[in-house]
Amino acid sequence: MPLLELKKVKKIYQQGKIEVPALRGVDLTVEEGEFTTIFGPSGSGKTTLLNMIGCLDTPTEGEINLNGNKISDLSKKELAMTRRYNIGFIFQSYNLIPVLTAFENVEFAVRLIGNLSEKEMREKVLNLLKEVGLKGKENRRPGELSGGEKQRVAIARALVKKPKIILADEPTANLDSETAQDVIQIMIKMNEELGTTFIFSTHDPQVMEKARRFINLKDGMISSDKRGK
Amino acid sequence: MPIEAYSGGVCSVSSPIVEIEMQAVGGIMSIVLLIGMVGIINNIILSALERKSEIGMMKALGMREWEIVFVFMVEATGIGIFGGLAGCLLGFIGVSWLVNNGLNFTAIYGDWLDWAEYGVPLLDTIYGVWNYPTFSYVFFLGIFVAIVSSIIPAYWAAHKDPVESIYRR
Ligand SMILES: Nc1ncnc2c1ncn2[C@@H]1O[C@H](COP(=O)(O)OP(=O)(O)OP(=O)(O)O)[C@@H](O)[C@H]1O
Ligand SMILES: [Mg+2]
Repeated sequence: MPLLELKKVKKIYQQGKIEVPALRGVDLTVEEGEFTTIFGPSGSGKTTLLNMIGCLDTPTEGEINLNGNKISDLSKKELAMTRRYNIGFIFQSYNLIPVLTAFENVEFAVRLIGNLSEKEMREKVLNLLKEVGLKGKENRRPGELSGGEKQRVAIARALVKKPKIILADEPTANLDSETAQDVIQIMIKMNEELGTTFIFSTHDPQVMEKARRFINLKDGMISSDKRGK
Repeated sequence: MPIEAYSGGVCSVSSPIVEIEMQAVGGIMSIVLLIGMVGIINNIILSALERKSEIGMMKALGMREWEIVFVFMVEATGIGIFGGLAGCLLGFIGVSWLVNNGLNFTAIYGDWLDWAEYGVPLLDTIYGVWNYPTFSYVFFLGIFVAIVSSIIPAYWAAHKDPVESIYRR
């Protein structure tokens, strides 16, 4: 059984009396451990698609199966629980909690899972921060970190609960090209070490080419789906 | 006997004048508390608005709405305790000053007006009185108001569509 399966997923936004079709029938299957990029022009529906997969939004029509659960008809509570245990998010604007340190931001996510002892949690968070290259910066707040460092914290936060899948909407859009490469390399490393499935959207060709599967979205539909090396 | 209208009968020894005074004090107190409450509510609404994307992220992390509300309530409690302590400290300083030095009205009116001459029993200087129960009453009321008034704006913020909160559309 694939990790993720979308069948004829449609999303129509209602803007006043006008209907804006953001997704117009998306069929997609993603296996565990894949490292996939979604690309396409602005407005093609990348963010919308990632939000559907991430249980942040529900499709107007169609079916989404994640990890054996049909998420397109889960209740609000069940959607929150799916996000909590199975999905990690990375956003363009980092979305760290400004009053918490790097350590606390990551700890926040693992605390919600609540299956580890204090000591285990601490070790896990410190270890992960080291893995993403933030050793020695654990006690800095987001305001004292660079964009690339903030995004590393966000990656650690997404990974700490060992989710099935990590969704990243333009994770490198706010970074210069060198930092963007560092960040994508960390994502690759984590994908290889932990086997976590990644799906990310991007506009940057140099980031895109690092993926192993390329899904092109146009006008709310998949226009091509290729696999690389 | 119109004066009897003022005696509430709660305190048998209190003279009508004291009763009037108590009512005036109560009235002023309620106004002060009301202003304080509006301040607290205003603060919490602003912080919920400001932290829209943070709340969106909490939802993305899989927090339930009531859990987010709880985070806000804990914060409001903390702020309430801090604010209450700071307020009591300032009040303490203010009252000690009034008790020891008093407020000298001759500085405002000058010497030419003698209140007593007009039958108003006012001295030149008004002194403060310690009223400890009021301190604790206001302190706990402040915390209570902070908690209660955090619930609605926090719920409103937590109830918002996460996509909208995160992307600030
Ligand atoms: N909340 C909304 N209300 C109305 N229309 C929306 C809403 N969200 C998205 N849309 C519309 O849906 C379409 C797809 O938007 P989406 O944000 O998914 O595109 P995108 O591929 O992520 O674009 P970008 O590369 O600019 O981020 C666009 O036409 C957009 O205007
Ligand atoms: Mg987008």
